[in-house]
Amino acid sequence: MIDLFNCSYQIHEKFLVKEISCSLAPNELVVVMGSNGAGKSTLLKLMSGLLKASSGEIFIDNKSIKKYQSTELALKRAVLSQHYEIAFPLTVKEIVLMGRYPYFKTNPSQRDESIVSTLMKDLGITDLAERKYHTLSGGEAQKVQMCRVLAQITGTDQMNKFLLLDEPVSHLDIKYQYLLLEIAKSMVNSYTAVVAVLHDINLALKFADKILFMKDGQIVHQHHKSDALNLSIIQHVFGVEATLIQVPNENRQWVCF
Amino acid sequence: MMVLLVIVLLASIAWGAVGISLNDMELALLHWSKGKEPGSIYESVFLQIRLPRVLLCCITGAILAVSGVLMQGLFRNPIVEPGLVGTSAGAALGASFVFVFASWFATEIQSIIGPFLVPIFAFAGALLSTFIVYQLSKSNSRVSLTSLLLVGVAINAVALSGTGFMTYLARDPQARSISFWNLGTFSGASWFQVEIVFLVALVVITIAIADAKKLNAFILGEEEASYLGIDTKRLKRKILVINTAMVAIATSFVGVIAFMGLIVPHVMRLLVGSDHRKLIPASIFGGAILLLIADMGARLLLAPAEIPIGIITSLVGAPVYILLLKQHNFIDKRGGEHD
Repeated sequence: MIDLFNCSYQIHEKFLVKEISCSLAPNELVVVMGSNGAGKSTLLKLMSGLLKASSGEIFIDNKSIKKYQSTELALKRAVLSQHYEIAFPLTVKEIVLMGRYPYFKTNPSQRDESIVSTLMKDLGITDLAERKYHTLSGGEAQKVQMCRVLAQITGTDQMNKFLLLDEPVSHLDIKYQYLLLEIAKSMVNSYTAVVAVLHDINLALKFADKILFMKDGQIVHQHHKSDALNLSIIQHVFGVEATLIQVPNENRQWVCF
Repeated sequence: MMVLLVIVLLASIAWGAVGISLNDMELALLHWSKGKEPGSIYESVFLQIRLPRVLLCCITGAILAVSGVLMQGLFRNPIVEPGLVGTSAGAALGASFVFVFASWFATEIQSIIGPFLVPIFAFAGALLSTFIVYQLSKSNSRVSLTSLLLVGVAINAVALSGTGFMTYLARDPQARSISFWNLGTFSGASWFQVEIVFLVALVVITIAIADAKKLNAFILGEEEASYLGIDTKRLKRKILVINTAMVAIATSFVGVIAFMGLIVPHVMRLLVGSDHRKLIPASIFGGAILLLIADMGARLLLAPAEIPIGIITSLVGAPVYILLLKQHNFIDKRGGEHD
């Protein structure tokens, strides 16, 4: 669905992303990992169409990303950013409803409203609906933004869609980290792919179908769910010692740093 | 709000150097609609002086309020108003240029575009200064409050010194028009001005309301708005141009009226929230009502003499503004550092 060919993005002399080629298919939850400044967010912004690649090509459904109208892209992909600064006080409901902006002209339809209220229930933020966004805690705010982003790509069936999540669980407690990733996982289907930047490798191993390890703007390793874990790559990417332990009574491994 | 507007409207027609009763108004409209001459001096004061003045005041108030909403939305900042970011000062410079140099223009040109000279130059000046402020205060595609205000101060100073220079060059009557203009006054209101300002307001406010949803998305951030399918570059350019057009046209007839664009959106946000689909219509009424009250003050406080309305709005506006900031912690908990 998304194909990157030799994509680079540079500011002045510095390459933030360097000659990346990869592809993303529906039915996949892909996690991007790497240390700070490895180019993860830049990669997501290239995929979203916000940044234009300095060289190389990006295709979405075999059509160059440059040929998409921004309104067209808005129906195909949604992006959760790392930071939000809301300029004016808005209620939670108003913010979530913005996810449906690409679908209505002035007033939301019945369908828009019902999508929003279902998603708010799923994420456990129904009670926050009338609260002002800027009074929320970090974790609550993150759930609200996630809800808005999910609303943006819900309900356009029969069309390839993708969700880009830049550190979606950074402010959440353990319960909601799992809940949010489970929701992200449940979005994945034969029309939808999800790309998420995560910092917790064990969380990544639990949910990802594929993990892209980035270092210095390049993808240095792709780990597939069924592969054996390559410990030396992990040490190389994060620059710390790591060991593997077996989780008791479960067929999975745990990475200790 | 509509009811309140009508009440204030009638009150500001009735009270003035010459009192006008409801009966006079009714008679005047009756005579006018039948194409007859006004029956009394009160009727002609009403038709030729009071009514155009009050209408011009309404429309200007609405324009300034909506322009405040647009500016704040565009800069993503609740304390921006046309006066702070150079729009008004630029318009003033353009206008004073015309006051002083109008005689340089060939009389043929003057006879065609004469009445439009001030608006045109005010618009050019306003657009130029706003654009410069916007560009200079932007770093990494984000406009920070601090740099915005600092650049605004600098550009305002440049424009003011330009206006000062014009005043210096000007002969006496010209200088008087400039200084009146800088303080704002509705005393010269005519039907012609009402028509022009009304047309501009109609077009521009219609566009603004059509873009209300996009401005909402802008509250989330520029990137987020573009993820929602909004062509942010185009939106910014459009808002900047229509907003400047609005302020320039309004100010070109009545001069600089400070603080309206700041206070009205603030109050309206408290009343109806930040959703631009409600905020813009509310600000239209709020702006009209507030400026009508200010104009009544301008006419009545020192009657029969008149205070320039800009003085009233500044005197009342500045403290109210500070109070608002304190009371409602409006800028939010981060202590006002908006980036």
